[in-house]
Amino acid sequence: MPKVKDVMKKPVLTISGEAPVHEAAKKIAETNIRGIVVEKRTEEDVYGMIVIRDIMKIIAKGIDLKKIKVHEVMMKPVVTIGPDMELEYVARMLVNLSIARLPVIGDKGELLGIVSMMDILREATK
Amino acid sequence: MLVTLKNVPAASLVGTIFVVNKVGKEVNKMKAQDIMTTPVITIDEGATVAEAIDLMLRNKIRRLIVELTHAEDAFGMVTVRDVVYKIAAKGLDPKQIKVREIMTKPLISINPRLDVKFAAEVLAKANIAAAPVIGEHRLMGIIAIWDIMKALVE
Repeated sequence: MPKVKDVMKKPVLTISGEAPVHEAAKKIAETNIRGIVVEKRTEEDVYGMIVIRDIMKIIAKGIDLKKIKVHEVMMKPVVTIGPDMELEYVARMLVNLSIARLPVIGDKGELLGIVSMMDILREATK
Repeated sequence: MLVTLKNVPAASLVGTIFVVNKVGKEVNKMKAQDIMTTPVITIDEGATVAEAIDLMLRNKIRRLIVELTHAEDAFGMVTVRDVVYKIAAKGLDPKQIKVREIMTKPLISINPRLDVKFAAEVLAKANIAAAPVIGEHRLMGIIAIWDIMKALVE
């Protein structure tokens, strides 16, 4: 069974919590990567994440994406996983949390990659 | 905001929020049919999940519309989420499971003439990522939150 480190995407797209949501939306549209990790503010801080669904809620409310900041809509803290977890467990974790992607964090809290449903799908028929 | 109101009937302004993207294109005047993805890749409900996965990967898409089985039937949908949540998470073999066992059916659908702004509201309120665009009893395309976000920022 393949592990997280075998399929995760790297490097990870990141953004500052102070950036406007519009910038996050642009990054997502340009790169086709649907979840952006929100950078830590300090060494002790935790990561956040902003995904396309968060942005959609803002659009649906008719709020100008340039007038709202990433930290106002992101999820933080975000659940993270280590690089050695087997993909079947990752899939179960996604189900339990009702999410589509998880940042992968190393021993020292460093961001290693991001693993998503699409990465698991690619392995599903192998 | 850069909105020209002169051609808009007053009644349509009630409760309407205008969304304008950076080039001044009025996204609220765009219709679902202007930004939907077409043609739609479909699959038969009797196909295996393995075949569905193959079709998604080859076409680089995240969802397939499941074909009608008779004239009065409703469309279904099978997505990456269905495969990961219902097959991969349970350790099941996608070659042994049929699309009809994991699909969503019936679906919330969007009229091709619906304003993109309302399409965004429908998708956000239903907490779904995409819906088929159906007009005159015909499947015309798929509209996803991705399409709407792209239309807004580009």
